[in-house]
Amino acid sequence: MKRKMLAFFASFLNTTATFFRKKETKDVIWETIRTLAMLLFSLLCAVVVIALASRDDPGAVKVFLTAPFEDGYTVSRILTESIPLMFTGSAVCLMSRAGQFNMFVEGGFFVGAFVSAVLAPELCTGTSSFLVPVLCILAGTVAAAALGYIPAKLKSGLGIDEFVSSLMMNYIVLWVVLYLLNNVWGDPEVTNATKYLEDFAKLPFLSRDNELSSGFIMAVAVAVLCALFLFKTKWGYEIRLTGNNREFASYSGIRTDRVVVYSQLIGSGLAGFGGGVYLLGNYYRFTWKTLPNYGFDGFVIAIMARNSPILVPFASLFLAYLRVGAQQMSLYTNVQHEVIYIIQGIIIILFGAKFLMDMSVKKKRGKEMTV
Amino acid sequence: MIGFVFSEEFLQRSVVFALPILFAAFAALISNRAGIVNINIEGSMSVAAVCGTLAGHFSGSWILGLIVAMLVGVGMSMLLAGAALVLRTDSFLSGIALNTLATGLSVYILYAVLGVKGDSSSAPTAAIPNISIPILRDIPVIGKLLFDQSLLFYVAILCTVFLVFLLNRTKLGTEIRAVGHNPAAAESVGINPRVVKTKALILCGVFSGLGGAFLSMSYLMYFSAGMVAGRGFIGIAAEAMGVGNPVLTALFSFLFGAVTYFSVGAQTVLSFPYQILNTLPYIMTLIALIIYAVIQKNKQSKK
Repeated sequence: MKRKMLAFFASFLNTTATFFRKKETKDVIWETIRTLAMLLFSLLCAVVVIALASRDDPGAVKVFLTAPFEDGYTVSRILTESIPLMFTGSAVCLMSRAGQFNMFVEGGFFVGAFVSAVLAPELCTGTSSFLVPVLCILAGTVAAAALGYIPAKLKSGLGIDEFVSSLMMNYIVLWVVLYLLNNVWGDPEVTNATKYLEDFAKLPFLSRDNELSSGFIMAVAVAVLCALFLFKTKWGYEIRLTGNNREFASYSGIRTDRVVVYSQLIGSGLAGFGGGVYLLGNYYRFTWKTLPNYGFDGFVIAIMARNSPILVPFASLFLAYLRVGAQQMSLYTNVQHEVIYIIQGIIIILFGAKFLMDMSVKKKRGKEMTV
Repeated sequence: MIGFVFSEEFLQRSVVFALPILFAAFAALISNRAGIVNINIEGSMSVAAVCGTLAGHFSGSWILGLIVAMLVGVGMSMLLAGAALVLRTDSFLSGIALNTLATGLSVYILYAVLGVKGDSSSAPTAAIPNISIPILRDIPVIGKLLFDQSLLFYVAILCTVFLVFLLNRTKLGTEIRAVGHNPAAAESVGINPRVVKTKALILCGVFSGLGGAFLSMSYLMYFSAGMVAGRGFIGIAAEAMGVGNPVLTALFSFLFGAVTYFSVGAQTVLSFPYQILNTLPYIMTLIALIIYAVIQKNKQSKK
C-alpha cells in the first residue's frame, strides 16, 4: 500500500516535472512572467511621469491608480473605454499577422461611426425595429471595408507601401466626412453633428445605471472570433503563413496577393464595425472634429497582446484602466490626461523589444514574430 | 483663379508651405538611405517645434531657439536609435511608439513650462528672420521666390547641396549607402552598421528639428498642438517619390507645398468647400505614389 502510494506520488511528480520541463509550458510561463513584469514596469513609468508632472499635486498618483476602481460607474467606464480598443486591436492583430501595416483602422473606425450615425435617423422614419442598429452597423462595416480596399489593392497590385497610402486615406476620409457632416447629412440645427438617435436605434444597455452598453459583449466576441478565424480556419492559416514569410507562402501555393487584400479588407471592416458599435452604444450622435486616434491605439493593443486576438481583451482592459485613471486624474488635479500617450509610447517600445525577448527566451527559435 | 495660381505670391507662399515638408523629406531620406524605416519624423518635428519656440521665447534669441529645436530633434532620433538599435524593437513600431509619445510629450512640455494647454500663442517666440534682398527681390516672377524668403529657405538649399555632396563624395555617405543597401556586406568590409545608422539618425534629427523650428518660429510664432498635421508623413511620401535623390526629393516637396498652398489659398479665391480643398495634398500624394508605381512596373516588365 505504502509502496503503491509512493509509486503514485513519484509518477505524479514525474508528470508534473515533465509538464514544467516541456518547452511550450516553459515558454508560456516565461512569457507570462515577462509580460507581467513589463506591465508593472510601464505602470511604474506612468507613476514616475505623473509624479514629475504633478509636483504641486501630491495626490495625483493615488487618484490615477485608485480612482478607476472607485465605484461601479468608474469600473464600467473602464469596460466602456476598452470597447473601441478591442475592435481596433483585433483588426490590427489580423493585419499585422499578415505582415500588413495598414493605418486605415483609424479612418475605418471614423467612417464606420459616421455612416451608422447618418443612416440611423434615416432608417428610423416609419420603422422601429431591432433591425435598425444591425443595418446601421453593417453599413458602417461595409463602407469602411470598401475604403480599406483601396490601400489593400494598391499594395497587392502595384506594390505601393500600404502604410503611407492608408495614412493619406485617413486624412482624405477625415475631411470628406467633415464636409458631408457640415454640408449634406448633418443636423441643420447644430454644427458639426448628426441628428440625435432615436431610442430604438441605440444599442441596449448591459447596465443602465452605469451606462455600460452591450457593445462590450460584441467587442469581446469579435476578439474571440478573430482568434478562431486566425488559428482554426484556412484563411487564418494563410494569413499567418504569408505574414511569416511571404515568399515561402507563395511557393507553397498560397495566392499571397489575395491574402494581402483580404486581411486588410477584414481589418478595415472590423474597424468600421467597431466605429458603428461604439457610436450606437455610447455616443448617439456623431460629433468628432478630428480622428479619434483609436487606430493607433490598436497598435498598442496588438503589441501588448503579441498579435493574439484572444489576449486583446486583457490588453484593452489594462490600457482602458490607465486611461480612466488619467481622465479621473485630470478631473481632480492639474495633471492632463495626455501624459498617458507618453506611457503608451513606452509600452510599445518595451513590448516590441526583441532585446528583452532574447533575454528571457535564451534559445533562439527560428524566426521570431516580427511584431 | 488662374491669376491666383500664376501670381508671384503663389510661388513665394508655396515655398513657405513646402519647407516643413522638405525638411521632413530630407530627414526621411537620410535615414532611409541608411536602411532605417523612420516614421517618427512627425513626432520629432512636433517636440522640436514646441521646445524651439519656448527656447526662443524665453531667451529672446531665435538662434538659441533654432539650436534647441535641432538638439531636440536629434534627441528624438536618438530615442529611435535606442529603441531600434539597442532594444531592437522593430523600427516601424518604434516610430509609432515615438509618435504616440510625442503627442503626449509636446502637450506635457507646453504645460510644464507655460501651464497652458493647446497652444503657446500667449508666449510668442523670437522669429527666425526673413531675408529680403533689395533690388534682386524686384526681379519679376522669380524675385520674390528666391530673394524674399525665410532664412530657412536658404538653409534648405544649402542642405540639398550638402546632401548631394555627403552621399556621393564623402566616406560617411558611401558608408551610409553601403549599410542601407546591404548591412551584412557592409559589416564584412569592416563598417559598423550601428555606428553608421546612428550617425544618419543624428542628421535625420537635425532635419526634423529644422522642420519643427520652421513651423513654430517662422510659419507661426507659437506652437499649437497638432500643428505638424501630417507634414512629416507627406515628407515621407515626397521622399518616396524622389527615390532617395536629394534634388528630386526637394522638387517633389515643392510640388506638395504648392498643392498645400493651393488648398489653403484657393479658399479665399474660390467658393468651394474648404474641407474638400483640404484633401488635395493627400489625394495628390496618393496619385503621385500610384503614377510612380505604375512607371516602375512598366520599367520592370520591359526588362
